[in-house]
Amino acid sequence: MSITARDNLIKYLIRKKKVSLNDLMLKFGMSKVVTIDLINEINKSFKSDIIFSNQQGIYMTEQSKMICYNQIFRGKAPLFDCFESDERYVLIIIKLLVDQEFSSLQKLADFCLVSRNTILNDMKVIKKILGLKGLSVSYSRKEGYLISGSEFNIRNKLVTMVKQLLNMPAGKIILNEKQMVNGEEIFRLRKRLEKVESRIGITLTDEQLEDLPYILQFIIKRASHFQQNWTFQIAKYDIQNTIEFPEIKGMFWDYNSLKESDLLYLSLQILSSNMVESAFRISEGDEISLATDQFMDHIEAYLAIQFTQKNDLKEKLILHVGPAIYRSLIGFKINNPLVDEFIEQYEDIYNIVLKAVEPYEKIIQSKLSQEEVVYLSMIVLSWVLKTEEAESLFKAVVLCQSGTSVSKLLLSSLKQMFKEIDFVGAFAVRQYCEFEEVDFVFTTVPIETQKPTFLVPSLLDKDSRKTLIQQVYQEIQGNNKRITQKLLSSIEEFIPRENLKKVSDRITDIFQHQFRKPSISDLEKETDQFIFTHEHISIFTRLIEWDDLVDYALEPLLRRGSITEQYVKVVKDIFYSKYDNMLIARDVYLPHASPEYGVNQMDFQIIILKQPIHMPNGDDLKVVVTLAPDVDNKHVSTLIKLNTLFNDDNVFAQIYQEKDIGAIQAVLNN
Amino acid sequence: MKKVIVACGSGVATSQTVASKVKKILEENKIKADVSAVDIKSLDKYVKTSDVYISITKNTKEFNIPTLNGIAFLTGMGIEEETKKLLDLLK
Repeated sequence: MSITARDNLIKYLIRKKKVSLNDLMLKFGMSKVVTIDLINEINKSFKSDIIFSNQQGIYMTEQSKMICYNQIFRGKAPLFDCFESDERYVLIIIKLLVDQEFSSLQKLADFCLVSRNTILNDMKVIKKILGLKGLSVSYSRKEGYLISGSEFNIRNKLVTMVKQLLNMPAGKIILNEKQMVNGEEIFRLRKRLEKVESRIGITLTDEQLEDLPYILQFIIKRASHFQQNWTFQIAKYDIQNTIEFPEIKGMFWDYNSLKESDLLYLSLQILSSNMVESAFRISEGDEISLATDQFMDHIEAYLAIQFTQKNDLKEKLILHVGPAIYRSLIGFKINNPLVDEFIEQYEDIYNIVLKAVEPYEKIIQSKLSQEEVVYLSMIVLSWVLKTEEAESLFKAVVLCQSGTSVSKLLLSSLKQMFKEIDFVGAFAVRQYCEFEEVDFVFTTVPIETQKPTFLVPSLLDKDSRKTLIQQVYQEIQGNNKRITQKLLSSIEEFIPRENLKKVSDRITDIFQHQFRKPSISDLEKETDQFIFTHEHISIFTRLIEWDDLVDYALEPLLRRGSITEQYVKVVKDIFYSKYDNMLIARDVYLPHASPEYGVNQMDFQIIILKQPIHMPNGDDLKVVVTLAPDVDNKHVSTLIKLNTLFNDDNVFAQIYQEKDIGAIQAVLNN
Repeated sequence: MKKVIVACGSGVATSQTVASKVKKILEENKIKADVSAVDIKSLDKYVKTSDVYISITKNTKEFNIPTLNGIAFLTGMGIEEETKKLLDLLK
């Protein structure tokens, strides 16, 4: 086999998609038998078929072209001595979009292996091609040729051009030959893509996996050579909050110059770039508006209700659904940590919304993800719960890190719970400073503020509702100054001006002096201290085993019905593992647990151990106070008293040595 | 207003007692601060918005706010030292 004949044949086939045997015979002046023999010999020498033939003709695959290019031509003789006009247009556009260096007419002519006149003619076509996408080409002595327009359109054009070139025969080889790509980086990007693919559970087609590294490399080149601040529509669609985005972002960890919008754009490409434009078309059209009308009709029919302020609801829904449809179309799955919890609590609403989203699913021609349906359910539920606002003394704001539907639902629940509070709305934490005039802040994330703040879970279950109501009323009632001010401002208009000061003084006096919140010292003096009777004090003269201590200590409480067996069990678990820190005073231990573990009523027991128990930590145990705490912390004042008593060495000694329960009782109740 | 957080295992007894004692100390020293008792499970949540943490549990975790020994307030042993630290932190 002649090497020249081999190289010429391969070189010819590399540039073609497919040729007929006849073409080859004519081109190389060979007989049919000689041509077929040559092809067979070439395949034999490569140990696998690199030239294929079928009924339609003879061809090489892009892979086999690359193999031949690498083995025979790369770095040796140039493979191309000319380019077709289509190839030139693409090459010129790509070069102008990613190369920052000066592109003169001459340089482009050299690059494309043609005359300057040809480039001038090409430029006319290129201007038309770019004009279709709102891009323009200018020429200046200083800058050479330059393509300008919106960065988003520019990047889309770049991607289209790269794809077009990759689809041309030997497209990748052209890029290599023209030194427009870095092979090592392509390999690295491909490996990372494979990793991302498995991590976010998507499957790229082989073709995508082949082409994407090239596309990504050109976008990165564009981003780093033309560093600028740019944004595009998707930036506001909460893509950052999806499961996929952080994973994809991680893939570009070592590209420091990439900005957030660059990373978003790269993510879009990975998750199916061909959908981008159609998604924008849909989210701008009125399909979503119509589908939303149908969606609301469905819900009203299923729930047999009529929404109030339907237009507002529609606006809210569209605000969410636009991006949701967009996300679904391009394959992003929104992160919604409340899915399971929500479905469990509001299964009915969820199922109805799941049925009602059908008009939306028609638009995207596939199912909406569970996460998106839950977000929609939250919006619907918050509307269902919407009630008339009562006249209110207090103003509050609901803050939430992100995801407006979560906070909207929370807002509705809170409005229902606290009719006397006027909720100005639900907002992102960063917007908080705009609401300095509120009295209370309800937030799902800790924030720094001087205002009374209630940290609440995103979804309020029964328990958290109960606790929250307690906390809020404590705050409202506990702060008399606030009540005074609020009361005054709300009745001010009905008070004759000349009496305003008198009334104000009188109210202030009543609230701030007579109904003053008791101070700590008042608490200690409080008369509703626990009264210790005979049966609340036990004296053990025999030695009690450490392991039996809690049983003995809790037995009287159990007998009095103050606690349940469950409480005993929990206290045992806690006390034997953490007794070290369960003190009420020096050397006085306090076995107890939270009231929710089974306290029926507040109760105490004082245990005096005449024979001290040697504890595992080496200390001796002489006095134990067992406690069944009160839900409203009424036990605290008694604990403070016990703490003061037992910390006094003299009192401690007196109680410990006393044999008469009545005497101990007198000290305790004093 | 600065925030002091007191935590014990249950959040209902020991921490409440210490919180009351601390409130009293602050009242006597005319220092305004918000003192609250919480259980150890919700500590992580509250510690972010607090300025001082008074611990009555074995410290298994370090927080990046000053931590005082709650047992001192409870038993009176070493209370002067802890009180001084607390007042300095809240000034």
